[in-house]
Amino acid sequence: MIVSTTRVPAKDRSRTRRGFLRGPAPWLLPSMAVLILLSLYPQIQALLNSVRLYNLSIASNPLRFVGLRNFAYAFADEQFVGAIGRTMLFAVVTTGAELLLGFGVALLLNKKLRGVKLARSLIILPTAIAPAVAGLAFRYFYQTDGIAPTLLSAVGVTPPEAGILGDTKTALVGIMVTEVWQWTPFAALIFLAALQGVPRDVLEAAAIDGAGRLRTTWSVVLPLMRSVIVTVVLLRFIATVNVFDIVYVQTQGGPGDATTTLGLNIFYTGLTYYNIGYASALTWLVTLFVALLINVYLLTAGRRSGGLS
Amino acid sequence: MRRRTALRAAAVGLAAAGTAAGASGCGSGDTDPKQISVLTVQDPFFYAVQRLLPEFRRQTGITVRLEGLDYDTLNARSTNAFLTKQNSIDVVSPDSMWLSRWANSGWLVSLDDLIARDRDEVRPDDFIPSTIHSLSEWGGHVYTLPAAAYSQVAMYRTDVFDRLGLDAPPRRTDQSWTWDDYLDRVRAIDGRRVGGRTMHGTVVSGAGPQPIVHMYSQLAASNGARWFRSFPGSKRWDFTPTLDSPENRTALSMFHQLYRNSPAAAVNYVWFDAGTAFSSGTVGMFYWWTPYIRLITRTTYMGKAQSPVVGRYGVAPLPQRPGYPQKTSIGGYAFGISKYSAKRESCWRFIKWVTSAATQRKMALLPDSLFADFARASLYGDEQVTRQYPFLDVQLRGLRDGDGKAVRPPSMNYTTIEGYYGRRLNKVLAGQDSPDSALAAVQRQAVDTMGIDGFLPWPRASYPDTVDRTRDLLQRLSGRPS
Repeated sequence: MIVSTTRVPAKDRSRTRRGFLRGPAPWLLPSMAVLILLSLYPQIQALLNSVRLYNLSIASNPLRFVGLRNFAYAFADEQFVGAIGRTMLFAVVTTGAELLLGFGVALLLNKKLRGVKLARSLIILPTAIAPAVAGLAFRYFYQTDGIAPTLLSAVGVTPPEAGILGDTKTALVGIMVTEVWQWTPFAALIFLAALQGVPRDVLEAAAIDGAGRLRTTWSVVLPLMRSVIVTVVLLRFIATVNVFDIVYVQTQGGPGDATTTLGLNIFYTGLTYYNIGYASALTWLVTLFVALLINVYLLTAGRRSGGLS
Repeated sequence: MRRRTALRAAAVGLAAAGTAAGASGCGSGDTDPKQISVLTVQDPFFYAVQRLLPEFRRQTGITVRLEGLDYDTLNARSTNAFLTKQNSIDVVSPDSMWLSRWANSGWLVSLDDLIARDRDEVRPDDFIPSTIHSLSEWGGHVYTLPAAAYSQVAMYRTDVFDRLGLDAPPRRTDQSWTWDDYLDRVRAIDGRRVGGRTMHGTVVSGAGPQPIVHMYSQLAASNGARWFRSFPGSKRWDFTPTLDSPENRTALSMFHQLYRNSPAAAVNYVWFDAGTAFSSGTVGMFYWWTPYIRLITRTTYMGKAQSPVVGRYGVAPLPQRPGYPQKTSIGGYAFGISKYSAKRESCWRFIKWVTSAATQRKMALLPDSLFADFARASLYGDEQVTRQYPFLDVQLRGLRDGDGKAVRPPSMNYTTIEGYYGRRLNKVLAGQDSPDSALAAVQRQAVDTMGIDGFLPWPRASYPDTVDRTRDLLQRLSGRPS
């Protein structure tokens, strides 16, 4: 349907172009270009590969179109299905722990205590370490003659004979502890910044109304920090769903498949077995799954707060 | 005006950044034949080569940028470079298991003509045929030359055997030295106190997927298990998987027993973890790749501190299963030339130099060197080398008995099968699966994979890919009639 046949005069066109150049668009273009190149293009390429028989083990080029076969195969793949459950458990537990511990640490750092300034600068250190290095350090910490089993024995808990990372019941917990150790400071620092942004007069008003510390935190501070909390949850949840380095360094997914997460499963499929088509399908499934979860979370969080800004 | 200038400057900056990025993607000086980029793993040979590179530079004027990576990174980086047709890698050392894939994809240059041209310098008939067969040859062509060749041997604590009154394994290959004997000795040691320490009978490398497959496949092959119905030694290849064969079940059951006599943490042990466990002094006997004959003399991988087992261990050939021919695994690293390298002649000079008997000898005789993994037969008779490395006779026997392609058959999709095979084996050790059920699952998965990947039935040419055939090839390349 033709909406309008009116031609824009040359003078107006030139004015429009000038307006475009004067607006924010030229400054956004480089970021947009980078985003398209680094994010959108690989996603589209992965989508194209996901519907092909593309396995570098048998040919260096995609062989043929296979429709949704790679996706169907994923749902029958017990490694992948198992990895979904394990990764969700890992993501929920670690995000929850980082949130709670991070908030607690932020409350402490927000107090005027002796040495708090030094503590604030030191607390960022674990986050600054590369995850692979943290993973390696904790691997030694957990090994059968390491500090962790010694500490457990000292408090009367018998450590697993195969070591914390060698036992199917404790390996994932060991990795969770490493993850929480490394990323709790990140949550704590964000929460600390948010706490310092809570208006003093609101807190004073709550105190005048007779609210105790717990009530003030629950009914005044937390609601004011809601958008920050939602952001931290989102960032940490996405990061933990994609966890790779720590697991790779500590257990390589073992023992058995006790610590095989989605990231590791896709890594092995794509970069060890070179089944590019299938790995692309798995990547897309994980992307869709995480997007779905995030949107459900945002909707729920938004409904509770009457809309998130 | 100022804004427009800023925009123009930004555009120029972006263009410059793009150009720089493009240039960096082209790698090591692009076409400068005096500089080559070499990618390999950080096995003991790497450290020795690194120390001798200044000498190569003095001799040839060629600067070598040698990078040592871990196994997975080497695979990923090389594959990515080949797929994107980059010339950032000139020389690379594929694992023997990747060779069929890389050769069939045309990513490596065949060295046949170069070897034939420089046969007097290369001396191809000095290479032990099983090493070229296992590491370097595919489809009747030589693509790489070995810088380090490994077989597998048994290593045991002589003092522990003496203290417990156990018969030491024979130093020569012997039909009467069986896997049952091996397991009996392991059981006899496990849990006993020697020198104030409680001993483990053995140690396995249990981490999946590669380490456990490297160790387990040796035991399985010695017990007669094969991965496919008839590949690679048959005239007509049949890739029907045979991973749930009775021989493989027997082998896995035995491997499970070995794990039960190992430190429990061995379920997560990668290659060097097993070696370090033995060098710590609490393990009675284990079998592993030959570089560990020397690595176990240190407390850590390639460390300086001497381990407590120095002077207290012996080396023996692998046990056998009566009625089955011994097949020893062969591994190692061999250098080949990337198809996308624009400096083939410089690459070839480096390969000739690093794999020559003279350089390999120097690598072994460097102070504190742990390298003695020769693919060249002449070095096993060198007086000075044999004086420094006392177990070379056993090592040589392992290489001569060896057939890497029989133990771990290099089908192009080997890594896929190794992936789920290794994970299942690891699940058995972790108590998540039983040996029979694990092998049944691996068999099902392998049948699926081979079908989907177009191996069943095999549509292409077949030929008996044997050590004898490689021996003939080496003779031809040496200019001698086979």
